[in-house]
Amino acid sequence: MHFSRGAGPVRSFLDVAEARLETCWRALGMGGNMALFLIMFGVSADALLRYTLNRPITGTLEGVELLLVFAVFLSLARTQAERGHIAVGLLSERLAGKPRAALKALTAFLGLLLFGAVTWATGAMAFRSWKMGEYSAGLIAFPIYPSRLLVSMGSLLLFLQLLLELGRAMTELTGRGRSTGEKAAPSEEVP
Amino acid sequence: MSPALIGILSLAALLTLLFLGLPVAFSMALVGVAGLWILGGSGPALGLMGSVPYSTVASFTLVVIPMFVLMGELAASAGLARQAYATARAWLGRLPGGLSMAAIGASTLFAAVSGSSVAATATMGRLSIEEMRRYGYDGGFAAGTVVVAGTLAALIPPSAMAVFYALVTDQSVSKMLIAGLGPGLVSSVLLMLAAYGVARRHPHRAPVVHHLVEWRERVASLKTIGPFGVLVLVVLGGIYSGLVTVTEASALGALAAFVLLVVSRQLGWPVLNQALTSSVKISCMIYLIIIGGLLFSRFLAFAGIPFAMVRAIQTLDVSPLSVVIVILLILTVLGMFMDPVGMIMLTLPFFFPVVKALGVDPIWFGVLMVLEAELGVITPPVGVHLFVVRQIVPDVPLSAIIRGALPFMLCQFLVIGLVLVFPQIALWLPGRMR
Repeated sequence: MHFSRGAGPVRSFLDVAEARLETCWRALGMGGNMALFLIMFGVSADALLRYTLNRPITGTLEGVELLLVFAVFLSLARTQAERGHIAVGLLSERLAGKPRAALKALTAFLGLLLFGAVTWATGAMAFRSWKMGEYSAGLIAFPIYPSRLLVSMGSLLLFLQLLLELGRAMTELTGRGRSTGEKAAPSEEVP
Repeated sequence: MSPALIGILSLAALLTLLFLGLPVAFSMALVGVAGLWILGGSGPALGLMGSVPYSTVASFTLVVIPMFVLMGELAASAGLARQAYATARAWLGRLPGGLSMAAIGASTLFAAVSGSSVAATATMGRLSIEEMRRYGYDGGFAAGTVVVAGTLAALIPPSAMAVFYALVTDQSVSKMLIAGLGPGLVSSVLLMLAAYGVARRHPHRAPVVHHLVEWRERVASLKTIGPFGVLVLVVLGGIYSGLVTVTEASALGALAAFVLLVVSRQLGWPVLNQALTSSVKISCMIYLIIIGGLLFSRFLAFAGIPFAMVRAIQTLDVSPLSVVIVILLILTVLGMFMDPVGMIMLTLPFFFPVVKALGVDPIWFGVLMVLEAELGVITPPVGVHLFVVRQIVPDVPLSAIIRGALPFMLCQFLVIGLVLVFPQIALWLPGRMR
């Protein structure tokens, strides 16, 4: 993380919350990795069986889509925690101390607003999908609501990560934590 | 409110959020959702927010991005980059600027198995820069070579960037991938010529290395090309012949790279976990940008901005080529400050409807966009490749790396000019696909 650790009940709470969330991200990250590994084998096996024996694996498309949603959405928070979502650091690079903490608090708050709304909207969509009995249109009728629920859960986890970041920035801003004066990377990893 | 005013206000809001440091994906989504909410009320905004994230990611075609990244990661772990460099060094090492040319040659080979230019730059940088410096090459020149040669991975298929453009603009992914091959090879040749030219003009920056390897070793080094042949056959052969879909080709390519990793006895849990983590993380970042970009472009469409822009350009009565040139100039400036994925996603909702209405070939425009995006990663102040290479050689000042990369950067401008004047460099191969 990009914040210093220090004493005080708020900071202790944030430290514990951060440790728990990190454990959670690691576990979900492992799940995401496994999902990707399965996608690689699933799509390859389907293609090979279709071209050699003309016997594709029924349900590959639906299974792959579910696994992809799982891998991507449950890794959103981890990617945020590791600063993997690209940002233009022109201003934050030039700031240190409290102004930098204030900027972090503002961006975390804006992120919270967005992902609070996304969690609500995608959750409502998942609930509607479950109630209506929405199924995929492929050869095998897969229920869609588990995938929609994963989207909402991923968004909620990102919301929690942003809440932690807001808490960290606020403690730094109110003087309960020490400012690190650390400089951000000019740009994050891109393909 | 007129579409022009809405467009200006939304762009100003977007630039403010980006300047504040909010991630690109968040900024685009926030402006898009807020704009839809203001113009159409909570219904359309919540409806799109609820449906776009799922419908974007739950797509079989999108599997291509993580699979291509995974293929490159596994291939690098299997030692393919090292083998490519050893082969290129054996054949080119004795020429003036030969080690630099070898790094470019190896980057060209590795580009055929890697979908990520940042990963390719980091891999090739670790392999070649210290070697060049050991033989007396100037640090800035050695590092500058790798900074620019890394961009070949975004041009030569497989390329995550080309897939990204094709998915966002709804173009054929396979044609977009194959279209990058010609410009990639032209770029590779020009970069090698530039390395040769610099070495001839300034021999002290790249001294000739004598008696590096015997002919026997050179011929023997060709054996290492085999694994590349396998991967190129699976991915490029599969796509070009139409035998497999792009999604299948990407998964089969990743599987083939995994098999090569097993055969090379380099497979271990840390290696596999690292490759998978990197692929998931990059995909996650790209998907979220696509989601943010879609929310933003839906808002622009709702406000009638693309239509207003197309009408305005049509009344100006300018040629399509001059519009494309102006777009390229804007992208060149933007690329200096933005990362490539964000830049493409941010500008496409404005530019793509215009070029489409003017009858510009979307694949040709896509190749130019990818070239511009890759120019962005090598140009200061925010050139990602510059920072990646700087981390590998922290004792070489950034200014020296930029100076060293300058002749190669000029080559990139030349490639853009050539593709602009001779579209067939990009379009000839995809035009012959089934």
